Amino acid sequence: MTAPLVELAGVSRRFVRRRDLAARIAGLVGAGGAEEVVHAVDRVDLAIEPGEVVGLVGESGCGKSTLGRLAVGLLPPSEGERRWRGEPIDRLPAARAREQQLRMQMIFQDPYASLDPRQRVVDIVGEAVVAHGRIAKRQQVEYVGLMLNRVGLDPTLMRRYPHQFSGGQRARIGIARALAVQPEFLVCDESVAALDVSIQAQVLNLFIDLRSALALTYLFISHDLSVVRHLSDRVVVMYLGRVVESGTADALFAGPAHPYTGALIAEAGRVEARKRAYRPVVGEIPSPLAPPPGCHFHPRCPRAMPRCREAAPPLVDIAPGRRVACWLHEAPFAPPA
Amino acid sequence: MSATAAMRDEPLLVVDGLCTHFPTRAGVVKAVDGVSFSLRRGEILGLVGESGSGKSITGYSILGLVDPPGRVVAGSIRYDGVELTTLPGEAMRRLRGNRISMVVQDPMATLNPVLRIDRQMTETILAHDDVGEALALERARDALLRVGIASPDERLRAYPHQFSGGMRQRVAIAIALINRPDLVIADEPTTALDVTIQGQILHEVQTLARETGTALVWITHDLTVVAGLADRVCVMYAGRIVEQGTTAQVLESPAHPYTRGLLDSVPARNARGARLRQIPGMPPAPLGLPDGCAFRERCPRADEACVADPPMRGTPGDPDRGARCHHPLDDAP
Ligand SMILES: Nc1ncnc2c1ncn2[C@@H]1O[C@H](COP(=O)(O)OP(=O)(O)OP(=O)(O)O)[C@@H](O)[C@H]1O
Ligand SMILES: Nc1ncnc2c1ncn2[C@@H]1O[C@H](COP(=O)(O)OP(=O)(O)O)[C@@H](O)[C@H]1O
Ligand code: SF4
Ligand code: SF4
Ligand SMILES: [Mg+2]
Ligand SMILES: [Mg+2]
Repeated sequence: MTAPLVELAGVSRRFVRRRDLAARIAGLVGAGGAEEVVHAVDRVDLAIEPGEVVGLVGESGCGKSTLGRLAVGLLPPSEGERRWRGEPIDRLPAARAREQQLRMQMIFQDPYASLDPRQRVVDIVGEAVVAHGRIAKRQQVEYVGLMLNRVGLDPTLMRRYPHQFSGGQRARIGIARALAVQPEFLVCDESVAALDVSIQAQVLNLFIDLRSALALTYLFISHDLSVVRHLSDRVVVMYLGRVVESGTADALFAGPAHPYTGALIAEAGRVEARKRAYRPVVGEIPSPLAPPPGCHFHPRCPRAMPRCREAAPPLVDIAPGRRVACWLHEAPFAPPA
Repeated sequence: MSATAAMRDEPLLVVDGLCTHFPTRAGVVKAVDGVSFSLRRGEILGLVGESGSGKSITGYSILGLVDPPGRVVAGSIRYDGVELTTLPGEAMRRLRGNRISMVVQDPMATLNPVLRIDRQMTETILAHDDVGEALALERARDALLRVGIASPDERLRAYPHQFSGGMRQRVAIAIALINRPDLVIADEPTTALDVTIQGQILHEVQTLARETGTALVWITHDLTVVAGLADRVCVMYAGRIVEQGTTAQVLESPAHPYTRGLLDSVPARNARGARLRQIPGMPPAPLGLPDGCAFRERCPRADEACVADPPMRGTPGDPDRGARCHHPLDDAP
């Protein structure tokens, strides 16, 4: 078997942050002083095969963007190992690390904040390829023109600044910038969330077209289950820093194994005009600063048992290609050693 | 028909030919340009459309909260028989927060960050109903319970920043509902929230409309929210309502090509993994609207007739169902 394109093994990322002033004044501080630790990503294993589209879903703050940044190397892990085609990439010599960096690109959550407002499109898109010596400076205009064409933008607009474009066009500029360095792996972080419905479909189609034209591999982050279901071969569900379920999109949507996945799917919107009786998941999304012990989902889980409060369920294989972390599933399927 | 039944059938809100314009240096932005709809007690109306289509300004116009130099330049807004467009400021203020209230997308815009929740809630109650501190606090507590906030006594003593975004939005909704208004205008209140929290809020809102007869205008760009929540839907495009009807009529047999295009581009209505059917082009800039039908440049059915402004065509016997189009789709079952 060939190695996965991208692999994260036991990767964690912790952030230490200073408590904000308001929290201290309001007397929220118990023990622990002025600093607090967030386990944004907690011992995650993730393997993405070449050509695969993996969808990553979960509620706000559960660690999706952090995992995406770890996967493309924009953020070093606190623990764990990252591999590219089976080879560890965290301690590469500087020159090879730079090469590796170009293979993996991220398209950011906020198309407004991620483009430098003082740079023209020709530089936003062309700067990195020129700086890495992939193309000569004098070829930049021609090259950027090609990239803009590819994402459906008029190349004659390349002298303009980001604020002179609409939201959908800015999303395309962000995509052109990522594609310019000819990556093999793209992390798309909520890349259509800020867009209007009619423009969302246009940008999703662009991702679909590029995937087949350029043989790209995607990690597609979204809180919108219908988008993830449409695009992904496989889906990974996160809750408070941990992976709680993964499987093929078909299997996971047809029969969610984790109660949280089930709740997400039940609450996801549909366009069938049926008055719904909303039956919400009870409780709040807990704070990542003080996650509940045991299974993080237990305070909201309709099926919680005493043991769920005591020990965190491990992520186990329950069927080929299907993993879940929940005490309701006790690994009936042993993967071949 | 008895007198009370007749009263119940009388619409609570009738918006007719509403135009709200903003004079700017570059020209007049016709944010709302001839909007008409009506709403009965206990009814939930979904107002959908893309950003810039005029949804919020429609809401602000009803509440008399349009920022100058913008103003209502034509049309009428009748609320329970009272004309709101000419109502003096003081009377309008009394109506707001007492009988009509608003929920906006960002709850911090309505919550005061330095006031405890109990103060904010009781002040709202006492401003409109002098029932005394104790009873007001009791009502505040009930209101928090109704929007699904556990341990309300503890929450009442907290400040807004101690709440998560979803909880803050529920507090804002609780405050909007606390004087049992007849009409609530909600402007994308759940857009920024996670699905599980959104589900909680929609649940409470639905219960409220059913139990207290509060009517709602629910503004959103999310068709899936409208599908599950609304009784009737108005679709806006470039400052106008281009289609209206019951939720089933609009979502299951759309008459306007724009509505049809929006529905067709929803991922769940396309084969998994396939290219989505998309509406070409972009919404028109507010100062660059084409003559005639504003959807003309993106419409697959457009022809010479569409250079003339299409009127809203009602359905015989069903005045609340109609589309503003020269060539409506008629795939009604
Ligand atoms: N630089 C940082 N410093 C401190 N905390 C951080 C930092 N980046 C992320 N976090 C915290 O880590 C957790 C996970 O954040 P992350 O941005 O990965 O969430 P997300 O799943 O992408 O959420 P959303 O859906 O809102 O984008 C959050 O609690 C967040 O506040
Ligand atoms: N203060 C203002 N000055 C000028 N134009 C405005 C102002 N407020 C809103 N508009 C314009 O009015 C139109 C409708 O706006 P709005 O009702 O906020 O749209 P929506 O809520 O549907 O996104 C837009 O074209 C917007 O740019
Ligand atoms: S481990 Fe227990 S609490 Fe967690 S999801 Fe499974 S049943 Fe629910
Ligand atoms: S009036 Fe013409 S251009 Fe406008 S929606 Fe109807 S067919 Fe299309
Ligand atoms: Mg994120
Ligand atoms: Mg708005």
